[in-house]
Amino acid sequence: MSWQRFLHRRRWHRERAAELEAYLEAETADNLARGLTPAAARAAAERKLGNTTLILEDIYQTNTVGWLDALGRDLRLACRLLRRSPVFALVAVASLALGIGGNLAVLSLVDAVSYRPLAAVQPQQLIRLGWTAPHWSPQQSWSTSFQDAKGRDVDTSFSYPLFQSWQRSNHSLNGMLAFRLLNHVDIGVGGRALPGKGSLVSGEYHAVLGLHPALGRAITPSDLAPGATAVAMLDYGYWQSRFGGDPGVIGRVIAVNSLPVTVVGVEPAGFHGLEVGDQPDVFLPISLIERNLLQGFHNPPRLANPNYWFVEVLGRLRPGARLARAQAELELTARQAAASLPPDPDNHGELPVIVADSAAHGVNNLGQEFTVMAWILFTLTGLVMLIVGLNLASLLLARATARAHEFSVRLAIGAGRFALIRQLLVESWVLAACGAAVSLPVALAATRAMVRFFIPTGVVIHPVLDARTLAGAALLALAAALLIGLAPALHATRLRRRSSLLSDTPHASPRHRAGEILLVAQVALCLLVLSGAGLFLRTLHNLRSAPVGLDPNNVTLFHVDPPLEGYSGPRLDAFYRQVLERLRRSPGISVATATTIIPGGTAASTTRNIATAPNQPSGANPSTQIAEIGADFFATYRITLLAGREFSGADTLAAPKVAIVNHTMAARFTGLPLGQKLYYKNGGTTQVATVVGVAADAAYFGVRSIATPVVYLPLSQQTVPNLDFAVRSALPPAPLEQELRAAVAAVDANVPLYDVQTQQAAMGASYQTQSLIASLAGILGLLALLLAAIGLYGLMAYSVTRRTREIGLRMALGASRRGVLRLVLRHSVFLVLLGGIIGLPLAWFGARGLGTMLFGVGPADPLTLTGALTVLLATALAAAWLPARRAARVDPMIALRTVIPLRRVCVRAASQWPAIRRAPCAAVRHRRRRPAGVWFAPCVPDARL
Amino acid sequence: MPRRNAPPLQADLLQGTLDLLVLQTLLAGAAHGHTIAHAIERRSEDVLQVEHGSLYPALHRLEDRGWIASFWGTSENNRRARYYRLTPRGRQQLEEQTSRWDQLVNAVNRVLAREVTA
Repeated sequence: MSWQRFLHRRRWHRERAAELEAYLEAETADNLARGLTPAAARAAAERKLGNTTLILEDIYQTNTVGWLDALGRDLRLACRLLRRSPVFALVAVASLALGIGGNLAVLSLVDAVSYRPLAAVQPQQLIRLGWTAPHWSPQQSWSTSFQDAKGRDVDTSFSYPLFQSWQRSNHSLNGMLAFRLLNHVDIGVGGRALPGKGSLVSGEYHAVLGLHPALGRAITPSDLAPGATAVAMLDYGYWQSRFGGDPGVIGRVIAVNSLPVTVVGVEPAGFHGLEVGDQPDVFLPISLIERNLLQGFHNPPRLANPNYWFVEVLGRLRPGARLARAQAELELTARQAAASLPPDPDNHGELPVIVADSAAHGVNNLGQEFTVMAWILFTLTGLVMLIVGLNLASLLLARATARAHEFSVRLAIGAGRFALIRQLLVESWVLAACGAAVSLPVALAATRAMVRFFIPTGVVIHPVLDARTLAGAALLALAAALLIGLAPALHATRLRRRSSLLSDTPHASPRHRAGEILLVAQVALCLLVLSGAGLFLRTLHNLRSAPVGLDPNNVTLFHVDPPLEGYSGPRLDAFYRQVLERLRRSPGISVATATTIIPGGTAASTTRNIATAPNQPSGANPSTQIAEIGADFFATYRITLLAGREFSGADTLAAPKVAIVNHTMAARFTGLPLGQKLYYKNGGTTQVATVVGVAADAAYFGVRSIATPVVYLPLSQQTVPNLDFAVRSALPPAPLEQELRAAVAAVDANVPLYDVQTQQAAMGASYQTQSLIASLAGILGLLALLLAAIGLYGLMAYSVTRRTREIGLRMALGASRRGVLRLVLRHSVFLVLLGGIIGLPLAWFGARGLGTMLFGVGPADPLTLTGALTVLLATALAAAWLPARRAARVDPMIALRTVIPLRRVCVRAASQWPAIRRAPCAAVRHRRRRPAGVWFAPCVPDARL
Repeated sequence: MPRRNAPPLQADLLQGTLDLLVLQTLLAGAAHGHTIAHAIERRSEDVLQVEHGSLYPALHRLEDRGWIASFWGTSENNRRARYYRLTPRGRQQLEEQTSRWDQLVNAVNRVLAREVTA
């Protein structure tokens, strides 16, 4: 077989037919010559030749690829059929596109967070180190931590000397690197500073990762040598956006936190740093931490201090080396290093346990909650996809059943059942392929929208539609095609051949079992999605209305980090004092304060070092939260003072140390807390503060619970590097922000304001995940509801058309229109309730996995479940109303005398019944207009009626 | 000539035989289907009753393999007919196949002869 022949198979066919005809003519001529009559001569010739059709088919078969030919035929037929019912095609393609697109978007999000390999050479060899210890803690730390898959809190910060001793002494690793993310840096270009993110990297960073700079050179160990020029590398995207991709950037001097550094290179385009979600704009040698890069933040020396734990460490496993072996080796070195240090009495001889994890997908500090969120979204979109599939399956089933007559004829004249199934499957594949094609722009838009609106602020994620996600889409489309095509195909080809051949009307039972099963499944899944959406909406509502013990309305916040601009010591204190005074004097601002912790926000400072009695050992006390606050804090937030006083100007550095405790903390004292002493360890010395006030419980970390022990310390007696200011003002946001910027600029125009936001937004950030899930689940719930409504409408409309005769008969025997209406509505309510009965336990089981994501509502919340069921029932009634009304309008005389053509199932019938009743010749007119099909055939007398 | 219910091996054998017969017939010169069919019948003295229709798929296959070539011509009684002629490759095939056929026939004959003596 050659392709040439395949492509020209029609011409070949004609040639051979002509050749056979030539044979017949020659043979006939011979026979005539033998004296036969013309007719007999021709007949004899045909006998001699044999079955010409078989011969031609034999030849055709050698020219073609059988299945390819059949596939082409099926494809053409499918396209023709779909073109004939554009509404169906549109609904099918649109819902498939939404389903596949939604899944694709969530898939690319999950992929970007958890599964995309790091843009480094052989990322599967990379491991990331961390440690766990129940009670041990380093003397001084700037820690990073995450919750691993086993739910352990793993700290990932180490001391730089420990990193160096690992580098010297390990055998399983092929190089190690250290890095540290700087969440806030000011990047000054040409005298203008803008906030950004930075990453401190060790000299081996680029070599171990195998990164080749897009421009210039990489940071090398020599850049870390004492006395070396301060250098920096830029992120590719940052280079593009801030420098317009100018290659002349190499050699330019920029200011990072007012430290001049020379740009020596640009990172490769696909590399966004090691931490998922945190994209550094600038990469700096880690040695710069000793320069005035981070003033007022943990005292130097930092790099050489074995008790200052702050760098994250990655290693590259040697090929063939085992993770467990490397872990044991690193642990041994860590123990030796610890043994060489003077023992720390606070840690009771305990040592941290080193854990190593794969870093093939980057370092993920977004935490377990983000992963759980992604999986919840994935499940929800998956469920909606299933509903889409079931919905289309039932629509296709109705179409296939309507074509029962055609199938019977095909089967009767010798088509194989497989050929019919193949044809129906091809039809669903055409739908799925169109859906998949349209889903790509949908997915792109959905991905952009998710990144823009729903990802927590400050998190940078790069979801892309790459070959892997596209393969996912193709797989999804294929699965969808099988799901929506197979059931109808199997069902339709199993229909009773005889009865559907006899007439156009199926006299089958009025029930439509397969369609009902599909609908019940849809309803059950829809209930699942709806109850999930309900739970999250209620969680969101509960979080929004949770008692926070403070008045967040009209409070606006901003953050400043003056040490980045060189402030420290008394100058820093003066800066804060002046800003506060300016704010207090500003018109429209009634009261202003400062704090290290935004109440109800996402930051916390927790210690076990606070005791209520002098002899209690430090480090083993119940965990306590600390906030350093300025004067008027309680007034600004309208937190009730239960006893004692606020901090005042009298609480200076020289005055006796004071503290205010909240109600929960107060319960830890025996007797009245006022006047009692708090003992806390700070940098090796024990300090004592007297409790001068008791405040009511108010939100501290998030809004979920306010009953946590909090100790408030006065800012005036502490040294803090950076602060949030809070003002209470009734001004609209824009003028207020002007006011705030003016107040800071009046003190120092070079200090930028970060994160100007309302107190409500700051508290909202603590439940951003829930907001995201609630809004997406709400949208998906609506979509599921809409699909279920379409499904129910389709099924009911179809079943009413099928049962027209039965309904006519019932009416002829005395059933009222109201009774018929009830009949149809009862049927749909029955189906929905059945789906509900199946769906409720499923929803209950499914919700149990949500546990920690919910707030103020149990997984088996009866109100949510009943609510979901009620919404579903109401929608079902609305969807079934039209078909039911049509059933009630059936004219018994016409219903009993006409055969209802199934092909015009639902849409037209409603409008045509009255016309038929008015004018008997309507049917004739109709036939003239649509000559292609015989719409109204005379009734065949039926014994069953 | 049993065609339909014969075991596959024999069918293959006979199919190849039909090809051989066609090639041999065309050795005498170009001919169209009708002539070929009658020539085979005649030369086998009506022992080989070829169903004339089955000749055409065989001709098609042979042409597909490049052993014969075809052209439209005018027949003896002035009708358009498709003529077939041997190609050089076909000629070579004919020689090879004929010698293989001879070997086969000899081998079968030897076996049959031995059985008769035994």
